[in-house]
Amino acid sequence: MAKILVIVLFCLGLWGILASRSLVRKIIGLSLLNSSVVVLFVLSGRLDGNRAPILSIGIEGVMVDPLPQALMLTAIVVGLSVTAVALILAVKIYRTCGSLDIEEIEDSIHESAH
Amino acid sequence: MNLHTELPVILILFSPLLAAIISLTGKLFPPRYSLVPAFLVWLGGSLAALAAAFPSIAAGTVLQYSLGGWAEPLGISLEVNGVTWIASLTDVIIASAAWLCTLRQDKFNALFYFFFFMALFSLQGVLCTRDIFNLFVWFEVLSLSSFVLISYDRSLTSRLAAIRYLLISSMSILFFLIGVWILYRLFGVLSLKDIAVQAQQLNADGIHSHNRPAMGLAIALITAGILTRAAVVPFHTWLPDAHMAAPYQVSALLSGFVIKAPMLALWRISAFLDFPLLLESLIWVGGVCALWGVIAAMVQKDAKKLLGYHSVSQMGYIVAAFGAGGADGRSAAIFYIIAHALFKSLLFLTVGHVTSSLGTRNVYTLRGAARLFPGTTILFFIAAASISGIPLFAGFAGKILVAKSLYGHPAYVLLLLAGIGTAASFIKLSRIFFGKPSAAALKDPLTVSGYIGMGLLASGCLLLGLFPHSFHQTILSLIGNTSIHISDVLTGWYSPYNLVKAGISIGAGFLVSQVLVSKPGRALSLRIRDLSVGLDGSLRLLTAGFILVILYGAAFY
Repeated sequence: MAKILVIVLFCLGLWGILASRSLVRKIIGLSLLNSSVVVLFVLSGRLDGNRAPILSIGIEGVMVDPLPQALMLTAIVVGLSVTAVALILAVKIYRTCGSLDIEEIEDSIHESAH
Repeated sequence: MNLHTELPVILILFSPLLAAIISLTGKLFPPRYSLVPAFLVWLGGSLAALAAAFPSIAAGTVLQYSLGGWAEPLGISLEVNGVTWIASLTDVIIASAAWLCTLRQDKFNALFYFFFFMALFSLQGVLCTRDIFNLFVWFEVLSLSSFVLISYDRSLTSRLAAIRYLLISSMSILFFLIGVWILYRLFGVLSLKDIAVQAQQLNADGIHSHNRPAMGLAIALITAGILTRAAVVPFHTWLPDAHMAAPYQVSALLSGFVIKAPMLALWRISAFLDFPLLLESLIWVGGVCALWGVIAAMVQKDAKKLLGYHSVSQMGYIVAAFGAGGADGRSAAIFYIIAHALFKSLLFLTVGHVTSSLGTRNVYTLRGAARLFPGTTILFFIAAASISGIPLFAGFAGKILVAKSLYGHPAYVLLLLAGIGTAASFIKLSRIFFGKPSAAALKDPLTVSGYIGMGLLASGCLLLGLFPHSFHQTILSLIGNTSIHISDVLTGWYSPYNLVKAGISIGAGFLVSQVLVSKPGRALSLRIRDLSVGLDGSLRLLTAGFILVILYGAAFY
């Protein structure tokens, strides 16, 4: 199930970045792409075991690999900061240009250059 | 804790962070109290660390520090080796020059210096880390500071350039992460040292190992992710706009070092890049990159964009030399990285100074800058002579080394053509200095310290050009290769063959530049300029590039 989720999230994100002309939708697509990689890592920790990775006596079974989870905490924070900066830039562009459509923004830059 | 080996690593990494924190106090108190102390803390800390590390580095040992006292493979290790040492020294020189040029300009406030030093901090992290996931974090900190620095002018163009860089670099780093994931699934470790050991085991098993395709895919993804940061064709589309829109001091740092650091990270990773096909393809990628970059540069109207495309082109030389491998190729790549870092940041500082003082960046209309800024003009011509490969300057020696490493390889023809284009576009660019001034100078914002900074870079260019042999020997010993007698290989840097080759290249460049500024040439330039892609186009190009890389990686190994 989770494998399908990774693929669906990845494709949705890529589609959002490539097909949409709106800056905000592109940023949402980037966020989805980021989430798909996060799920991929967390899932890979789950492949080898199924028990919470807490050391204690008397519990049997193989632990979930805790390292990918720790890595993904970092990746989530990084993704959040990138999304925040991207949204700030998008808002600033919208305030100057009055549009989020990438082609309209590029056209207005082109016009002001001439 | 072993102070002798660990302290230099800690000092070189954390002195920029300390400087960033000191800069931030400029928000509370008047910025003039924190401006110079922050710089001195950073410069003093970095130079002290480099000096303290030198005896061990020269003796061939590697300085290492494990964060939190956890050794590999559990913890993260940082190291300073010969390559890191010489790269850090270059970084310090370039950043000091850029910093000196920011002085006495009202638009740079405490936040600017905070992000400036954060960029230096993360650059040092990229150079030092020995953990592949940690490398991802450093890359992201670096790009976060770069976004702010690029959009610092608060104009629409610079913000769009920043968001374009953001989308492209974030997408490519996700592909890099998928590569990291594959490596982690294969080996269960993230430390580069341990991955290299395990990869050797895998290579020893040979072609029959069923893990080999996965390994190939991982390496292809990681390499492509890093090459996006290094702005190599077809992942270069973010660079020209970003370097055009950023303040010129930032462009100098970006072109000078931010695009080189990923190559040095790739160097570190290359300990387990035991795939000849990948290196072979890097030579071709480098050749195409050099040629396409210079074609795009020749036709530009905007002076800073022209320089930006030149960075793409020059990265091609570095990637090609890196792909050639061996002591020849590796030392050529390092030599070229240092030479290019020096002259490209000098070019950005001089041209940026002229264009921002005169209020226009149009190569076709700007004239007569030599009369207004004679000092800057001399410095510009030192840098332009270096990049065009004129004898006695840094680029000449660099190009000889690259040529040597690629001797007999068909892709070298692309680099030769790129050399002609480089000379042509700089003859075109140098026209902004001649003739009668087209406009009165709005202001001359550069103080004496700015000229000192640029002079520092120019003397670096001259030193590299005048004493290429001793520098090359130093590099060879720093990368731990003393067995090769390069003096046998390079009998005479200024042999008639090399001089004639440089002469032909510059002569052909002059002819091409005359065609470029003629009427049909300008019409053609406009046509080629229209080929440049917008944001959507560059994202598609990036995706197509990665699909190609994935197919290549999975199919060929």
